[in-house]
Amino acid sequence: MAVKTYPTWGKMIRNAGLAVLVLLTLQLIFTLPAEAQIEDLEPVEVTAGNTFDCGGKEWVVQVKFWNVGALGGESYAQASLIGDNCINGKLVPPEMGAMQGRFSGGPNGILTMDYCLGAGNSSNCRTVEWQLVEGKYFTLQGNIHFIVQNPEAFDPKPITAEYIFTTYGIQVLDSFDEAGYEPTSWTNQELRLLDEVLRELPPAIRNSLALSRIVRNKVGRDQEGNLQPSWNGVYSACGSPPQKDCSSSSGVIRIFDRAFTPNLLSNDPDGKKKFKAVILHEMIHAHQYFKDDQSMYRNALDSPVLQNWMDATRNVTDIYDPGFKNVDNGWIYGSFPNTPPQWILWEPKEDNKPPTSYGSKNPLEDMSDSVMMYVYDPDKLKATSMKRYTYICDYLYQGVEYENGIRK
Amino acid sequence: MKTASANKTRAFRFLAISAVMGMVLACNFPLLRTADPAAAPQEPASPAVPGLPGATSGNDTALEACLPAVVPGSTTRAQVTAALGEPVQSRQEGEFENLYYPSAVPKMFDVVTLKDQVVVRVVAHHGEKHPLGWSEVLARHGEPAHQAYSDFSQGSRTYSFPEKGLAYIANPELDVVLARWCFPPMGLDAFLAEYGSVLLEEDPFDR
Repeated sequence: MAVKTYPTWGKMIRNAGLAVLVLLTLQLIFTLPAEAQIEDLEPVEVTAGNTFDCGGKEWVVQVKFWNVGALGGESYAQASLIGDNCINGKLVPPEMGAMQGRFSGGPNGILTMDYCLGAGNSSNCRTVEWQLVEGKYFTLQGNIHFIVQNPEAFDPKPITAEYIFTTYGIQVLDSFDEAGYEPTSWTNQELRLLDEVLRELPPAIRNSLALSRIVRNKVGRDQEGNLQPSWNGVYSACGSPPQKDCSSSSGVIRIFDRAFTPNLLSNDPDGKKKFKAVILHEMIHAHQYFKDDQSMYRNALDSPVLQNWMDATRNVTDIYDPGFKNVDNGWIYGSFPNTPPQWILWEPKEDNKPPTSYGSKNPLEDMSDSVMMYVYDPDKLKATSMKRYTYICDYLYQGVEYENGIRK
Repeated sequence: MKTASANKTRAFRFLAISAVMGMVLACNFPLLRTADPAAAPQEPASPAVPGLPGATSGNDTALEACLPAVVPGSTTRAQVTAALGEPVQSRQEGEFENLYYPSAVPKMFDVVTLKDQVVVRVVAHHGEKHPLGWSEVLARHGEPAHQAYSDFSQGSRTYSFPEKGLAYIANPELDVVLARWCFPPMGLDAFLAEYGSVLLEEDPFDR
C-alpha cells in the first residue's frame, strides 16, 4: 500500500535551518508588514517550496497557488502540491499526480490540503492547514515550512493619480507654482490611503460629491491668505481659488501635512488613520454641497442631506410643533439679543451629542466628524450619540459597519 | 486677517459714510438686487402694510429690511404680526421676546427680537428661495465697516455695516449671503461696544 508522506516539521527542520536563518534576516531588513488587501492585488500565480531529506536524498516539494486565492473568486481558489512521495525513505512518484487543495487568498491566507494515508482510503484522511505569513512563507504548526519564491506577487499594485481619476473621476494634484502654497506632492503611500477612503465610501455618497480635485499642500491658508497651520484639510465648494460660475465640478479638497499628526484618534501611532479620517471628513463636506451633476448648493443648509442630518439628531422634526424649539432638540441658528447670531446646540443630552468638540461648531462639522468617527472610532460615536451612529449606519452606509477603520 | 485693523476700520468707516452719502445724493439708485424678485424686498408701489414705519419712506435701511416692513427700532409687535402673521412660535428670553417665522431655508427660523413690544433685531436666512450674492451686497454698499469670523460654516464671515443697521453672514468664496442681521443703525464704536467682545476674532475652525 502506497503511503503518502508529506514534509513534516521533524524532517524539514534539518533542511530548512538555513532558510529560517535567511528569513529571519530578511524580516529584520523588511520590517514593513504586508498590508495589501485583495482589491490591491493583480492575480498572479505564486510558487512556494522547500527541499527536505528523504533517505539521504534531496526531496523537492512545491506548492502552486494564486495570490488572491478564493477571495478573488472560485477560479483562483485551487492550489496544487507537487513533488514525489517519500515512502520508507524512498522517493516515489505520486500515483494521482499533484495533490489539490485550496488557498483562501491574500498575504496571510490559509492553504488547505486533504491527504490520505493510502490512496482511495478516504477513511484515513486528515486536513492539513498551512498559514501563509505576510506573503513570504508558510508555517505548519508554527514552524516555517514552504518559502514563497515570488513574494512580490503580494506587493499591492501601485495606485497612481491616473488610477484615481479613471476609477473615481477625481483629479489628484500635487501643488506646484500655486500662489501662497509651498510645493509638495502625494506620496505613493498617501495615494494608497486616498484610494482606500474612496473605495470605502458608500456608492450613494461617492456618486454625489461636489468635487473635482484633491490637492496636496504643506500648510493651509484661508481666503485672506493667512497661514492656518492647525488645519488638517479644507473643502472649497467653489474651488480654490474660487470660480465665478461654480458648479458641482468646482469643488476642491486640500489636504495638509498636519493631517498626518496623530492627535485625533486612538490606536493611530503613525497618523495614517487620521490622514484617511481627514479625507473622509472633507469628502462629507463635498457631499453636503452636492445638488446634482451640474449644480451645487451655495448654502449647504438648503441640502436635504443636511436637513435630514439635523432631523436625525432631533426628537421633534416638525418645525410647527412647539417641541421643535425645545432646548434639547438639536441645532438652532440662534439669536440672543446681545450677541451675533450663532449656532446653538441647547443642552444636548449626554447620549445625543456630536462626537468631538470640533463637531459641536455647526451641523456641517457635526455630520462630517460623526461620519469620520463612524468609520475610524465607532465606539466613541456610539458613546456620544447612538442616534447619530444608527442614522449613519442605516441611511448613509446601508448597514456596513466598521471597527478601527476596517469594515466588519 | 482676523478682524479689520484700526486703520482699516477707519478706512471702512470712511468708505461706508462715503457710500451712504453717495447713495443719498443719487437720484435713482438701484435697489438691492436679488435673484428672486418675487421674494426680495423691493421698493413698494404702495406700502405692504399701510402705516408701517419705513415702508414707504424711501429710507435706505427700511428698503433693505431683513424682513419686509419690519424696521428695528420702530416696528411694534402688533405691526410685525400684521405684516408677517402670527409666528410659528414665540419665546420670552428675559426682557426680550423672540418671534420665530419659517425662513427661506427649510428647518431654519427667521427671528424677530422684541423689547418692550418694539423690534430690536431681526435675523433672516438666505437660501435658494431667496438668494443673495455677496458681490451684490458689495456693489450696493461698498466695503463693510467691520469684518469678523463666523461659525456659520467654514469660510463664512460676519460683515457689518453698523451705520446702516445691517450685518451679513456671507461666504465670499461662494459669493453667497447666508444670513442677514438687522438692528437699529448705530456708529461703529457703538456697534463694537455692544458686539465687539462677542464677534469672533479668531478662526473658529481650528481643530
